[in-house]
Amino acid sequence: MNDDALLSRLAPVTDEQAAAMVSRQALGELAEEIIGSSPDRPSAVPTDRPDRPGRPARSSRRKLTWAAASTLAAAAAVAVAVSVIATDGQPTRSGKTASGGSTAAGTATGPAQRPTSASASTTLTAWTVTENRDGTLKVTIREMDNASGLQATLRADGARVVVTASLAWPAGCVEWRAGDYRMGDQVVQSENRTGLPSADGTEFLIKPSAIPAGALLWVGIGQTGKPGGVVGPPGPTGFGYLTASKACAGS
Amino acid sequence: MTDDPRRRFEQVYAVHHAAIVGYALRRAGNADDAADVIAETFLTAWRRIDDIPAGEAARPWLYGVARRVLANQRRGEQRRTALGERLRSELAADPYDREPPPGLDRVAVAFTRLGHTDREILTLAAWEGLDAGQIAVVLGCSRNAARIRLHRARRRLATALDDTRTAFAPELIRGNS
Repeated sequence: MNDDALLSRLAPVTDEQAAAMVSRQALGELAEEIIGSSPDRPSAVPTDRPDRPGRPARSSRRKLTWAAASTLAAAAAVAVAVSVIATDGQPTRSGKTASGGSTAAGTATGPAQRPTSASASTTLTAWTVTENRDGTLKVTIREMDNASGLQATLRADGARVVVTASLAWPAGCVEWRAGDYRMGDQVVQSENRTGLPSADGTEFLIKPSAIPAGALLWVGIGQTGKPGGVVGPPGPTGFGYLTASKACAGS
Repeated sequence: MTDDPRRRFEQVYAVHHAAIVGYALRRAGNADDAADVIAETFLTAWRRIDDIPAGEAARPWLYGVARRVLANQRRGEQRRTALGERLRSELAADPYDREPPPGLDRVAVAFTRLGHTDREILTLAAWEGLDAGQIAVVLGCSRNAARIRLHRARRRLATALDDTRTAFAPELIRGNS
């Protein structure tokens, strides 16, 4: 089997499966909405032509009503799921465990706590960060909640990271070396690298000292099929490098 | 090709909607994002109906649009569209947390070791089944450039696959815990 055939089996869904996920009615409604949205098709459409290289992409202007939702996005080509290792978040001998918020659906959690005893981490928390003696950080995510808290915790532990609760590149960030790099497993190691989300959770190791100079490690964690705003189990997890900048680090 | 824009759009939509829904779902992190990509792609197609190439060439053209919609989302320039509410809810009702095929761990590892650009071009070939000429349309580059980039990406994937044979040691994770 050639590499393309192997990669094709990593695809989360086929076209046929995807088409089966939506009804003819939904597709028909969308088509009607689109046609009805701009019956006088403007001759100069303010979007980029995909067949012309080198022009900057812009968001299209339109007459539609936009919801004031967050701009989640996908970089799913880079997404690889890591599935759960059932742990209770017990701290290692260094005894340093940071806990995320509760698992209450749809509620943002408070700042990360740092319990110092093993018993403090026996409660099921949204996520935990454990510093190992070799300097690596073990991140266990059971629900993708309080991404900014997770980012702050990891940064406090020396990992130059940007964490997003989706597979979107953070606003203001550009990919390190224009994508010309290999992730390798020096920086991130995951237990299960099957490429698909798990309903149970995600666990991976980060080695802060191995993050390349001039780069930030991006950790994007999607959710599995949850409507916007509802806290759920983590979905595909994407890793990449971003060019370190103030704008990016502050995102 | 029909001169009636509406009929032309309906034709393109009927033939290519499955491909675009698939493209979006394979790359989007959640149902909302996927629905936005689908809606935005076909909205652009409607607005530029005269630019869409005839026949099968329409598919890579639409992928190219979808790719730019995704890129805009990544840059945070895109806001949630109000289009396709039913589509959004139907996609959300079917979380695709399917179990992965067995025995592909090493391939997935090797894939993650590649850069974003390599991963994108490889998935266009492997997931969408595009050749170098079609990938060139999606990426907005010359056919020759696409061919070279695809070749290099495949070579790096092969190297990464070789690396995983010796360097992939999942037990390291347990040892660190």
